[in-house]
Amino acid sequence: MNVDTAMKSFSRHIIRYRWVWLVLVVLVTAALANATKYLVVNNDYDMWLPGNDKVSELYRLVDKQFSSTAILFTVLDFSEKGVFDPDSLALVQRMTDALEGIDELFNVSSLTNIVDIRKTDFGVEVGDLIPEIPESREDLDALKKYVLSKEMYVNSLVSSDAAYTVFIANIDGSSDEIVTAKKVLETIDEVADGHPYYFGGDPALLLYADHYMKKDLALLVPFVLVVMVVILAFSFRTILGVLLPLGLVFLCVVWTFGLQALFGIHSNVLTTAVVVLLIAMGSDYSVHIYNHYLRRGDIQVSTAEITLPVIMSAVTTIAGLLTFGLTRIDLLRFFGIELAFGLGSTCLLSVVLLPVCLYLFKAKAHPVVGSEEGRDDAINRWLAKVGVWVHRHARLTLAASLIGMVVIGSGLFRITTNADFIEFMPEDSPPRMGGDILRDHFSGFYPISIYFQGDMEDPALMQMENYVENYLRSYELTSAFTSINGLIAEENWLMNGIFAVPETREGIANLWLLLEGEELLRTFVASDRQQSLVNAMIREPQTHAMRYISKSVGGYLEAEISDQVVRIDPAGLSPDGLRALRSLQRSEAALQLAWLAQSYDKPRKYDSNLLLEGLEKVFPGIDQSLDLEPVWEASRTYLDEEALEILPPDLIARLMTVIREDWTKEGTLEVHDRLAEIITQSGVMNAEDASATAAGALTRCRSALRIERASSLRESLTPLLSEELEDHKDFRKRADGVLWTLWAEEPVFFTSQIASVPEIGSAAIATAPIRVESTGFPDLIRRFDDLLYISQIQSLGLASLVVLVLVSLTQRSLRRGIISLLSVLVPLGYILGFMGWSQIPLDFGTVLFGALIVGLGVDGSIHFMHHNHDLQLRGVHGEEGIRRSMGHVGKAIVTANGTTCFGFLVLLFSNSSVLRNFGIVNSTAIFLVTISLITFLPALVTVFQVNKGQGSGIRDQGSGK
Amino acid sequence: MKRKKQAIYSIIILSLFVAVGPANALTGDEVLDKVDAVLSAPTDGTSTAKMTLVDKSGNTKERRLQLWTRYFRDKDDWSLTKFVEPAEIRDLGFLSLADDKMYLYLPGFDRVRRIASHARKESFAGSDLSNDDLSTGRYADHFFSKITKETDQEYVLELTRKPGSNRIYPRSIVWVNKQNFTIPRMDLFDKNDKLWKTFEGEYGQIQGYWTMTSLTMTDVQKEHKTIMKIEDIQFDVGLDEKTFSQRYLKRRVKVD
Repeated sequence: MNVDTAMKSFSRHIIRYRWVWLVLVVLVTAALANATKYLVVNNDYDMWLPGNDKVSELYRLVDKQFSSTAILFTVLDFSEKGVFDPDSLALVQRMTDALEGIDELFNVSSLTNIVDIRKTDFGVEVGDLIPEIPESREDLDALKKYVLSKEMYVNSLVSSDAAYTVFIANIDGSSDEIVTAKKVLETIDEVADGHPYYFGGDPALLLYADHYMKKDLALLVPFVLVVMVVILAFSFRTILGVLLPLGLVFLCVVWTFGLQALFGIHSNVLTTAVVVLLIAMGSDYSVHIYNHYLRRGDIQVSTAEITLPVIMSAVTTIAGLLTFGLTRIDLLRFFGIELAFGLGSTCLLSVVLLPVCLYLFKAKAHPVVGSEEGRDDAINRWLAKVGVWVHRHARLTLAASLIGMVVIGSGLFRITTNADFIEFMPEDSPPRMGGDILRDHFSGFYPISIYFQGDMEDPALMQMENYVENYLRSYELTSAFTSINGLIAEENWLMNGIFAVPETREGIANLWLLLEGEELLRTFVASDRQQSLVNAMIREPQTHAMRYISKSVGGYLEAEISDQVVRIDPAGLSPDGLRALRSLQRSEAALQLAWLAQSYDKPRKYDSNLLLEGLEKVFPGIDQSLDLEPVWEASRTYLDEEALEILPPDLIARLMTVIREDWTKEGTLEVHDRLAEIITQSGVMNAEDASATAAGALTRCRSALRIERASSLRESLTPLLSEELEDHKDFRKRADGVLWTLWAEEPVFFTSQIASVPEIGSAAIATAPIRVESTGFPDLIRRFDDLLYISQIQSLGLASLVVLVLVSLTQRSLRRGIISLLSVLVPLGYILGFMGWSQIPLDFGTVLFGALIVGLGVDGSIHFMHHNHDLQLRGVHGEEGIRRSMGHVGKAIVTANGTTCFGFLVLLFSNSSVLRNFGIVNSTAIFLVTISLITFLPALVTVFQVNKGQGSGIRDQGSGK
Repeated sequence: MKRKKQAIYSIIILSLFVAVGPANALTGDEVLDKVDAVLSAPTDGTSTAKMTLVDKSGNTKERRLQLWTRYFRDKDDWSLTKFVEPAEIRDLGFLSLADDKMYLYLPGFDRVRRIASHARKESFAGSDLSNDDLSTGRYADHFFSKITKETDQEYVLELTRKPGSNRIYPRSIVWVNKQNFTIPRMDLFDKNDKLWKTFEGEYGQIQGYWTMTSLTMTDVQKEHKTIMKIEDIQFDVGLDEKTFSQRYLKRRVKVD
C-alpha cells in the first residue's frame, strides 16, 4: 500500500468511525485535564543545570550546606531623614524584631541586632551594635561616625551616605524559599506601613518569577486569542474557520499540560511562551486542513491529500523542538518538550478531529479546479504574480538575498549573551529595583564564594584561606566579604593587635569559642568545621563581568592552588634553601599587599613586583630603624598587670633591665632562665610560676617586636602606595597582618608554591589536604552562558540535519531537501545579524529561535515543494508551476506564518524582557522566513530546476503567457 | 544593668539551695521571694560539670568545666569558670564579678581581656545558655509574678519583666516545686512572645542544700539543646577573694 492509498484509507476511517474518535478525544481530554492539577511550577534557576554538572553540583552542595543563595535583602530608604535618626532606627528595630519572629529564617542581620566586637580601653566589648537607640543628636552622630568607620558595616548593612539600610535574612535550608519570601514580604509591608522599601535576593526572584508568570498568562493568553480570532475571521470569514482552530488549540493546551504533569516536567517562566505559541502555532495545522477543504470541497479527498503534508510539517517542527532535548539547560529542554507535546497533540487533533467536525457541521466549501488555482482572490493572485516575477528574476532574487545576508549577517559577530535570570523580571519589578538599589548603594546581591574542604581548625589551612580571600579581594567588583578566617583574624586584631589568623590550633579554638552560637556562622562554616566558604558579593550583574571573574578566579585556583597545605621548618633547610624560602615568603607577601592595595584603592592596579622590590630593599635592615619602646612597654605591662602574682615595682625594674639589655643579644632560653631565677629569688612566687611569668614576659616581647616589625615594614612601603592607602586604617590593618607572617616560625604554603625551593622536602614538617574551588553566581552564569552558545549551535545544527533528512526522504530528493532547508537558513542568517546590530542578546529566550524557526519555517517550504512536485507530476512545470504553487499554498503559508508571527508579537507585551526579546526575534524571523518562502524558495526552485525532467508531457505554460 | 551575667554555674544557684518549708496561700511575688531567698544560703561552692551540646541532627559536642562561686546576700555573686576539655580550649576561663565586670582568659595568647558586654542574649560558648541565663540576681528584682495554676505539688507562675529590667525574656512560665522551691521547668518566651527556650532541671540534696544536679536547656527555635550534668558539688569550702582575681584566672586547671 503506497502513501496515497494509506492516506485515503485513513481519511475514510476517520469519517466512518467519527463518533468513536469523538468519544476517545473527550475521554483523553478529561483524563489529561484532571492530570493538570499535579502540574508543578519551578523557577529555581540553579536547578536548570543537570545534577551531574560539575558547576551545578558544587553550587547545590554549597547552597544546601550553607544556604548561601537563600538570602533575602530588604532595603529601607531613609534618603530624607537618614538612617541615623531616632525614628529611622526605631523602624529598623521594629522590622528586625518582626523578621526575627519568622521561623523559617535562621538568621536576620540588621543594624540593630548585628554583633559588634569593639576595642575599648580595657579590652574587648562584645554586643549588639545598637543596643539602645540614642536620642541626642550628639550620640546619633557618634554612632553614625562609628558605624561608617567599620568596613564590615559600610555597604554591607548601611550605605556609605547613610541614606539606606539593609536587612539580610537567611532562609533555613529546610524551608520553602518562595513561601518564606512571601511571608517576609508581607511582614515587611505591614511593618513598613507605607515607608519606602526594596526587596531583593534569590528567593525574591523566585517569588516574583511566579508572580509575573501568572500575570503574563493572564494578559497574553486573552490577547493572543483576540489576535487569532481577528486573523482567522479575516482569512476565512466563517464562524467555523474561527471556532474550529481555536477549539482544537484549547484542547491541545489541556493535553500539553496534562502530559507535562504526567511526565513530571515542571512549568517555568517560559511556559507563558509555550501557551501563547501553542495558540498561535497550533492553529497552523487546522488552518492548512480547513483551507484545503475549502478548495477541494470533499472532506475525505481533502483529508487524504493534506494529512501527509500537515504531519510532515508537525514532524519537522517537533523534530526541531526536540533537538532542545540535548541541551543541558532544563529550562530550554522543558520548553522544547512542552511545545513538542503541544504541537504533536494539536497535529493529531487537527488530522483526526477537524475532518470529523467539518463533516458533522457540514462546513461549506468553495472548490476551485485545475488551471483556476491561484486566481480566486486578490491575495492568491498577488502571490501568484510574485511567483511569476521571481521566476523571471530568479538569479537576481538569489543574488540580492545572499548579498543581504552577508551584509546584515555580519552583525553575527556583535552578538552578546545575557544569562542573568533577573532579566526575566520587568525593569520596574521589585526584585530589579531592589537589585539596582543593592548595586548602587550596597555591594550587590550576586554571591561569589570560595569553597574550602579540610580541617578548618588547622591554623595552616585557615591561613591559606585568608591568603585566597586576599586574592579574591583584588577584584574591583567584589566586596562585602564574610568568612571564618576573617572573623577570627578580626578577633585576633582586637585582642592581640594583629589582623592575622593565629598560628596555633589552641589560638584558633580560643577565638572560635567566642563566636559559637552566632547563626551567621552557618552561612560560611559547616558545623563539623570540615567545610567553609569565603563569601563575597558582586556588584556588577553583566554577564561579561561574571564570565571574567569566574574565568579568572577559576583559572587562578586551578593554576596556583594545590590540594595540600604544607608547614615548613626553616631549620631543616640548607642556606640556599633558606634564602629561597625567605625570598618566596616576601614574594607572596608582596603579592598579597598588591591584592589588598587594589581592594582598598579601586580601581587602581598595583604591581606586586614593585612592592617586592621595596620589601627586598628594606627587609634586611628593618630592625635597625625599629623603635623598641613599645616592645619593652608590652613586657613591662605584662609583669605589672598580668603576672600570676603581684610583683613589686623594684623587681619589675630589675627584670626589665635584664630584658632590655640582654634579650636581643642572648638567646631567649638563657634570658628566660635568668628572669625566672630573679623572680624565684624574690620570693613572690614559686619556681613554676616564676618560669611561667618569665615565659609570658618574653612572649610579649616577641609578639610586640613582630608587630612593630610588620608595621615598620609597611610604613617603609608607603612611597609605593597612593595617598589614599597611606591613611586607610583597614588596609594598614590587613597589610600589617600579611607582613607579620614574614616572621612566622613555621611558614605555611600551598605545596604548589614551594616547588622551586631547593631541598624543601626535608623541611616540610606537616601537610594537610585541602580542596579549594570557586562557586557562586559567576560560575553559574558562565556555565549557562557557555551552554547558551552550545545549545544554540547544537540545536540549530541538529534541527537542520533532521529537517534535511526528513524533507529529503519525503520529497524523495536530497536537492529538494537542501532547497527547503536553505529557504529557512538564509533568513536565519539575517536574524543573527539583526541580533548583533540591534544588541539583542543571546539569552534564555532568544537561544531558542534557531531550531524553532528551522522546524517552523520549513513547514511552508514543504507545502510549497509538495504542491509544486504534484504539479510537476501532472505536467505543469516552470513559471506556471511556480505560479500555481504560489497561488495554491502561498496564502496558507502567509496565513499560517502570519498567525505564528502575531503569536510571537504578542510576547512583546510580556513583563519579561527575555520573552520580549524572544518575541521580537522570532516574529522577525518568521516574517523573513515568509518573505524567503515566497521569493527565495521559488528562485531556488527555478535556478536549480528542481523538477526538470520529471514526469511526462513537460510544458512550460508560463513561457507562453 | 545592676546585676550582670556571671559564670556558668551561676545558673545552677538560681534554683540551687532552697529551704524546705510549707507553702500556705502565697502570692506569686511571695513564691518568687521564697525562691530568691534561699539561693544565697551557702557561702561558696565548687563543682565540675559536663556540658553536652546537641544539634538538630543529633550531633554532639562535649565540654568539661570547673566552677567556683562565692555567694553574697547584699551584692552580685562572684564566679569563675574554667574549661577543662576539649584540649584546645583547656584553661580558657571566665571571671565574673559584681558591677558588670567580666573577664576572659585566652590561654592560646596568655591574655586576660575584659568583656564589658551588654549582649545578654548572646550564647555562652556555643551552648543554649545565654549570658542572661548565667547572670545572678533575684528574680523578684526583675519580674512581676502571678500564680496561674496551683496543684498539690507545684505552683505555676507567669513572670513578666519589670520596666527597666535588662533581662532578655519578657515573659516566662515557671514551675516551682512546693516542697523545696526548686524550679523543675521553665518556658521562656522571646520578644515576639514565641516560645524560645525550655529549661528542665533535676535536683538532689547535698550538704543539706537542695541543688541542681543536671539541667537541659533547649532552644526550640534553633532545635538545639544543651545538657549539663553537675558533679563533685561541694559547699562552704572557704574560697577566698584571691580565687576571683584576674591573676588566678590565668592559672592552669589542675585535674585529678
